[in-house]
Amino acid sequence: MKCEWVRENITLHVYGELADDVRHELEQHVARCGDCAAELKAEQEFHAVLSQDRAAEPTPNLLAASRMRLQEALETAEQGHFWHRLAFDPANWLRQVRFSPALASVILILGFAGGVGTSYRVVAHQPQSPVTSARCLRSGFSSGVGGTFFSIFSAFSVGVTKVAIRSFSVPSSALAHLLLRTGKPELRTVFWLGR
Amino acid sequence: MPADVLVVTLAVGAGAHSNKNRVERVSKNQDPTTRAMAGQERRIDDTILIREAQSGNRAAFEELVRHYDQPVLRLALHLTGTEHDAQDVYQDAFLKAYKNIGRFRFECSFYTWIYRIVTNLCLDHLRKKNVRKEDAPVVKDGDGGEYDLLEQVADGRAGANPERDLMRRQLGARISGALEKLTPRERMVFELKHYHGLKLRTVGEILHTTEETAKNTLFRATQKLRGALADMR
Repeated sequence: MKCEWVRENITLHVYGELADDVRHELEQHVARCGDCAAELKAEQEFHAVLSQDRAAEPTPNLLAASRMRLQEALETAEQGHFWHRLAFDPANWLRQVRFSPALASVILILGFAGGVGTSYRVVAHQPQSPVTSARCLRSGFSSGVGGTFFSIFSAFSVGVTKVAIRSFSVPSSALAHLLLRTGKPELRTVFWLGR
Repeated sequence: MPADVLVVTLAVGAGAHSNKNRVERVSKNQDPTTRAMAGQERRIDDTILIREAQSGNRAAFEELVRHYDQPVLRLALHLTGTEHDAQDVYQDAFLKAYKNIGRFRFECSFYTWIYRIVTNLCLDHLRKKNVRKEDAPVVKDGDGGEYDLLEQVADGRAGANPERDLMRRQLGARISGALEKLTPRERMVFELKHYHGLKLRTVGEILHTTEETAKNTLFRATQKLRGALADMR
């Protein structure tokens, strides 16, 4: 297991990307393990061979020609208008919340399950009648849906731009505050789970 | 990038669109404190230039281009393999930056931002190149290896070492051939790390991924290259 870990990190070690403590651990192991020492030596030799091939610097002529061509193109190019700065950029926003859908899904499932589960616990302690059961089922379902909305707002408020954070968190906080005031215990539980 | 400090005198307001802005390159001593100060001043210069460019000052944008265009062109040249394609990528990248500079919100450095644009354009180029393999200007030799025709032209300059040049060209050709076997993303990570010396954290930021993913991609790329170049020592 240790040798496998070392081999996975040898490339990073050669490129100087390991943290100091990890580098120390790797070097300690290599000093004791012949196979890993040989692997490190092979990787260092390979790196030395690759380093002989350098990316060619652009010639001064190429750079000058590229700059001139760009200057000509800039004379006719138009910048985006000032309102583009204020416009919401969906692609950029989506990149920033790229992890949030997965997180939102997890919290969504937990929130919904928590809401429904809480209501079923309430049902278990109440006398069973068709009306009570149906009412509790509806209550459980609505708790789950409520938890879902809280989950979505909570999860997507992570990693968005400052403007989006303000725009999402204010209504979600207001909505949370409003619903908490209703005093329903299931909603408080779901809200806690959804957060 | 040069270590000098640029003193940029920019015309603002009515004179903003003229080319009458003066730029002086002031040499500085190379001791660490002065270098750090020069780096700090460079960042302040860039912020001022970006703000000016955002308000429509084309001269400021052109000055900003000059801060970054050499590494951009070097990256494009090495990835595309031809000067013509490298110029196209260079042009497209900076035109895109010019049109969208208003959307730059200083959430990352301009360096990361422009590199992101260039790497996306280069990735598109690599993906199209993978599809159009028949367009590659290469020649097959007797052993089945491929060599770029232009690389075979001898260097006739005085002082050139023909044998060393031949070995260097052969090495370059073998490595280029091995790099072709990588996926566009692996090639990009390897290029930015090995040839441009960027930290993997920066590479992750440029490619909109995590440092951990960049590390795994680099590991896969080097394993593939070692396999392809196993006989080279």
